[in-house]
Amino acid sequence: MKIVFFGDSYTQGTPYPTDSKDIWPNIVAKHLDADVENKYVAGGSNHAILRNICRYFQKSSCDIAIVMWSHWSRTEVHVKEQVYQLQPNGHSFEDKFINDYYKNRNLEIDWEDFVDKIWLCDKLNNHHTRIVQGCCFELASDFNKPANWFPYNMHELALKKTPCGHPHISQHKDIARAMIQHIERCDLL
Amino acid sequence: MKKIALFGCSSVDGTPFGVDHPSIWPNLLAKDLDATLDNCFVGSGSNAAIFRKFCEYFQTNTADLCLIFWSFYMRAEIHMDEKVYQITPGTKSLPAKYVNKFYSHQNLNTYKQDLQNKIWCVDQICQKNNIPILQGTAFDIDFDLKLPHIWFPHSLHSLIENHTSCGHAQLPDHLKIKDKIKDYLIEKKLV
Repeated sequence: MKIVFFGDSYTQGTPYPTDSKDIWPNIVAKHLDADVENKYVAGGSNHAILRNICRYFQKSSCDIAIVMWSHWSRTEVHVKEQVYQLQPNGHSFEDKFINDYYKNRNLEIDWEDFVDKIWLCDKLNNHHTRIVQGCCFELASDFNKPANWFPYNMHELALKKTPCGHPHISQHKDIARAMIQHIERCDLL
Repeated sequence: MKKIALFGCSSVDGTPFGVDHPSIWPNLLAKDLDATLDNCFVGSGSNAAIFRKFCEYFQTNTADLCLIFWSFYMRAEIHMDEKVYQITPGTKSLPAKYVNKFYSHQNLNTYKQDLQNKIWCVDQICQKNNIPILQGTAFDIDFDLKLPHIWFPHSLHSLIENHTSCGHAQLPDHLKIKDKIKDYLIEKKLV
């Protein structure tokens, strides 16, 4: 069995190495006795995560895909032909740049695009690949959640955080347990 | 044939004649196929906006045939004062200095990849929902794309012999475009 994870730094396991056996994707894969691929985008916007999903499924397949979306307002900016992932209060650019950028955004469109991505991913669900979707962060408002939606956000599951705001290694086991229970409850095995 | 859902930029909205004009190619095609038409155009639309329209439509509707003509791959969306604008290199809707600066920063390889992904996504969705689909482009593409099995082999722009002052098809060319699309739909057994 092959399981593939898509997401941002929460899926990457930051600040721990992605190949650490103790980060939640690897715990889940080991429990399921599955080969694992981790297709994270560090600091990733949902646009970048979707790009990774499309790129992957155009060439490969898997038995289970876990997609943990990032904060819906994260976005991408192009500066000098480099593509950067951006979020409100991020530290990759000067505050003024980020504040000006978000001041101009139409957030209704950003939210709509986020919901469209979830809908789209759900449509990719088929008998070859079962897809679990969820979000690392609290959602801005309600929407029609697709089948197999992971009912917790990672941020609330991880009670203890690292200084960079990610789940402490001790929390990865709990996240993995919740994900395994969810996969079993959804009868995806 | 019952309902056609059509997506694209001004190349599908009949500019400058108007979307309800009976002699623009989408309406001619719908009439020939005895179908109703949902023309879900985005005037001057970027592919991001066209794709959003597609998602929005199929979240609440279905169709018996889906037609999508993608716009120029470099068209983009920008947000200013919470309004969303569609822009293209050389656009007149915003100051040239602003547009040039915007494009000088863009990574066009990402744009190409995103168009490829959109083409793949809509193909997947329509296939999985058993909706026959024909995709194509409004403008010629000068880079490699992995195209789906069914792909309209001409850009709409390349079929225009006489342009209007705003660069769109004159009415006689609409008839020609309709014929080409209809022939291709029949050849591929989509209708």
